[in-house]
Amino acid sequence: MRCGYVQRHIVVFLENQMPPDVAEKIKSHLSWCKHCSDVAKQVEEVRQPVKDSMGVDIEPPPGMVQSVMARIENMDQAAPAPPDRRYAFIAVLAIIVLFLAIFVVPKILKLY
Amino acid sequence: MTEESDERLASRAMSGDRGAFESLVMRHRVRVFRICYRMAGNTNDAEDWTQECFVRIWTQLKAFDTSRSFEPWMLRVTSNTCINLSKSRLGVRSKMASTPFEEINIAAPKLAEPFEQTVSNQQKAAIADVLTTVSPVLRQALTLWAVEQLTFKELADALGVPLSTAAQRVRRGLMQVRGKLANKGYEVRS
Repeated sequence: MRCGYVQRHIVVFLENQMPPDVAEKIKSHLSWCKHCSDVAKQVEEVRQPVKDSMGVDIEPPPGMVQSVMARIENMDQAAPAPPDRRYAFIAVLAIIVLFLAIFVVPKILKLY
Repeated sequence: MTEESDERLASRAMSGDRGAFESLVMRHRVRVFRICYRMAGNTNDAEDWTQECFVRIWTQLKAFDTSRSFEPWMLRVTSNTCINLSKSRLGVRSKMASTPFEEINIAAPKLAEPFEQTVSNQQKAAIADVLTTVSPVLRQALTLWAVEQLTFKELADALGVPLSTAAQRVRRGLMQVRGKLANKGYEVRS
């Protein structure tokens, strides 16, 4: 087992979350590799204190849900409405009519 | 009556049902707030960040795969949002040359104090303060691991990275905390 693997997974090992066979190999590696066992010791020194310190009991302020929903409501109202397809259709139709009126109709009239 | 699952609520919310989303906010507001609190380091920012996280969850709901579990996805959006907010806060601070980084409001002990397995309130406060200076990506991993008490498999899922990467981030985060505590005069030993 390589030092890189052991050090990458050292926290998983210390938290007893390694499969038993792999944990055995890491344990055996730590028994002779001073560098890895030093890393394990350093991590172990802060692992539980950090975990204990980060646990928090604080609650969000009352009205949090309403504030979130109000923001979502405002956001949805502020979002630009999708362009109305009817207007796009009318605009294209107008361009076609204009094109016909300027270029095609005069030519047809000349034929008569 | 059985409670409607997160996934079912998310599915309804995806089709625009705000009531279903409100139920999700109600259900997860405490978790999201606690993560934001640990990532932001104070309650004022945590409140704003919690709102921002839920807004992001709402706007990104279309990307949620309803065949998968909602929680890891929600934790990922939440913690990524916190990282972005942390980075933007760092950016603002670094531009304000005259305004130094928030000083850690804790007196370092005159003599080196070892961290025992039983952590005193002062030591807890020291760790909590040091955590606010750990880089956002490592703090994200530490927060989900410690506050949410996720296993490494769950953590990897929430971060969207392989298990070894998640474990490495936690280890590097712990080592940063250890180094910063030592700089403040705390002797860290088991």
